[in-house]
Amino acid sequence: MENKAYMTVKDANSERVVVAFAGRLDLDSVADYWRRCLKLLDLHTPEIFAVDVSGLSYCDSAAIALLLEIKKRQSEAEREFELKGLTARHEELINAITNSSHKPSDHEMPPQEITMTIGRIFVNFLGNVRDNITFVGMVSYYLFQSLMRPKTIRWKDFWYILEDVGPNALPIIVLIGFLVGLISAFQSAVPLGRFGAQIYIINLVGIGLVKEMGPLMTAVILAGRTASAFAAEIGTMKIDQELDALTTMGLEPVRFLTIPRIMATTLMTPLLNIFLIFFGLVGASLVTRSLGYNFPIFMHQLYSAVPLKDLVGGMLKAIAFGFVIASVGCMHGLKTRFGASAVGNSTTQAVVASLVMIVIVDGIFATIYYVLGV
Amino acid sequence: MTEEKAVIQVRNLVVKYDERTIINDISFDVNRGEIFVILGGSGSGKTTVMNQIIGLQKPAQGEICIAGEDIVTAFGEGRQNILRKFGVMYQGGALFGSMNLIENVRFPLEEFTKLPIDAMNSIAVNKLCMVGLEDFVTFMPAELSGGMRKRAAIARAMVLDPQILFLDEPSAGLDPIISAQLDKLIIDLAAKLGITFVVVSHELPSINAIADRVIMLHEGKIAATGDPRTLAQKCDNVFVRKFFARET
Ligand SMILES: Nc1ncnc2c1ncn2[C@@H]1O[C@H](COP(=O)(O)OP(=O)(O)OP(=O)(O)O)[C@@H](O)[C@H]1O
Ligand SMILES: [Mg+2]
Repeated sequence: MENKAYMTVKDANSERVVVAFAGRLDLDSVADYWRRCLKLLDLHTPEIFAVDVSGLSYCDSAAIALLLEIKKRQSEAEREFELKGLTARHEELINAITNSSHKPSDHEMPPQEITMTIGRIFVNFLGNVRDNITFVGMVSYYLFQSLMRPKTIRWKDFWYILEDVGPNALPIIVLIGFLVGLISAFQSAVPLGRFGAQIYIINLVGIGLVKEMGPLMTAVILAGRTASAFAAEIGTMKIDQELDALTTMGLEPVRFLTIPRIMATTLMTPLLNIFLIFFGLVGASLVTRSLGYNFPIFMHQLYSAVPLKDLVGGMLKAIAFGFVIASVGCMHGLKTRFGASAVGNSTTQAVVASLVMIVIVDGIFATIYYVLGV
Repeated sequence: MTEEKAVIQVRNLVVKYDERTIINDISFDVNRGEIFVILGGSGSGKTTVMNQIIGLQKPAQGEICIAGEDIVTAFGEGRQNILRKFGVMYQGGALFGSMNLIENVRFPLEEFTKLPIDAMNSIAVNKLCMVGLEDFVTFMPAELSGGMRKRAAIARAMVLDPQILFLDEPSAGLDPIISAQLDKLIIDLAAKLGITFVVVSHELPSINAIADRVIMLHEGKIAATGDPRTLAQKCDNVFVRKFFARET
């Protein structure tokens, strides 16, 4: 069977261009000729563009589309188009395509100007900021309301989410905590050793974990694990119209879905933080032990290095992180648009936005603690 | 409660998405106890009109009253009271994916009544029987076919015994036998319980079987209104006649 299409240019000047097709012109082979034909058009701007299709053994709708495209361009430039050697079968195909009752309307896509693009990005950004503020306001209001009337909270969902956010995240929290403690102790051992100050590894890792690394790593893990899960769950519900169903049953989806999630996450983050810090210290103590400082020395040094207020400060930060991560995850889920890729998009955005928010909140806490002199 | 004839009143409804006007100034009434069908081509705004009536979207203009109360401006308790008057079956079913069938159907009972769990279960199973799904009570929505999901969604919409049921394309994607059963169920419920139905549909056989009155949407307006069985002959609108004659 003939599989290839051939195109011969028989004539090419500003008067007339004649091309002849032969063989099998279909979706696979038409792309090359499409470009070449349009190039011929642009190059010669012929008065008459003639296409001879008598040699075609087969053509599909892609080939017809090429012919129609040439015809359209010629007629737009008020020049002529000729089609030769059309068999009855091809004619039927052309008729079927051009006479379908829904004519493709050919309105042009509006030109994308750089100023318009910048404007649109800016407007979108403002819209996002407004959305975020509205959402935080709404959630805070609902949260307050729910806490005033605990009976309205969906406790069943709450326990279920609590388990998923907390205990189910423990393995990864333990692993990361252990590694962070072990590695930072190990890495600081050599430089501190030069000054004979290896005992201060405990201060360094202790303060670092309790004040900064603990809450931060916990939050980063939750952003990847929990914010994305919330966005995907709620986003899928939205696409399946489950949120609409809740709304018309008289259950406000924002309250119904976000309050248990936010409460569970806000409650679990500080606990996970404790685990992460604990296993970080376990990792660090293994290193210091191998350097000759036994467990009582480790504990003693830790007590003197890390005051309780640092632990409390870190915990407060973890609580704030938990609230932010859950809210951002839920918000992006609720904002999901329609279509197959929409849930994927919201999930990605939820993770990115929670990471950004974690940095911002961390900065705010750093400033507050600095001003307070904590 | 007012014992008016019209249970739903739509006045001068205009709906826009961004700048596109989808529904352009339509008004109609739905009478108590009738089966009212919203017809129209794909994308003509049937779902949009239904979403407006059930208060999911706010109209650009116009008034919508359900049982004499304005759903557009209602909020808080008042809105809850209106929402309790109707049940909705969405185009795709919209069952809760994390719950099995009986939990889905039971869900409104759990939220809005204080019945003991046994009572809720037996009511839910009863409703599932009505739509022929009694053998699937513990199945998850993901394990069902599209048509079964729709029937389950109808069961859920009925579970609080609403005065009005909104069904978005109930018989699309069902085989003729199930579809006929469903039509019979709708007629029975309307006749025996006096439930008002607002049905969005394409399926001519089903429309002819159930509809007391239809409106046909075309290009943002009501192209025709009346009894579907006589509409095709009487109406002089070309689109309406094509629709019923299934011409192109
Ligand atoms: N969220 C939206 N944003 C913008 N336009 C929309 C949106 N939803 C629907 N539309 C537009 O509104 C019009 C009516 O849509 P609608 O879903 O009401 O149609 P329909 O009559 O229910 O069609 P079908 O029979 O296919 O379900 C369509 O032209 C669609 O493009
Ligand atoms: Mg629809």
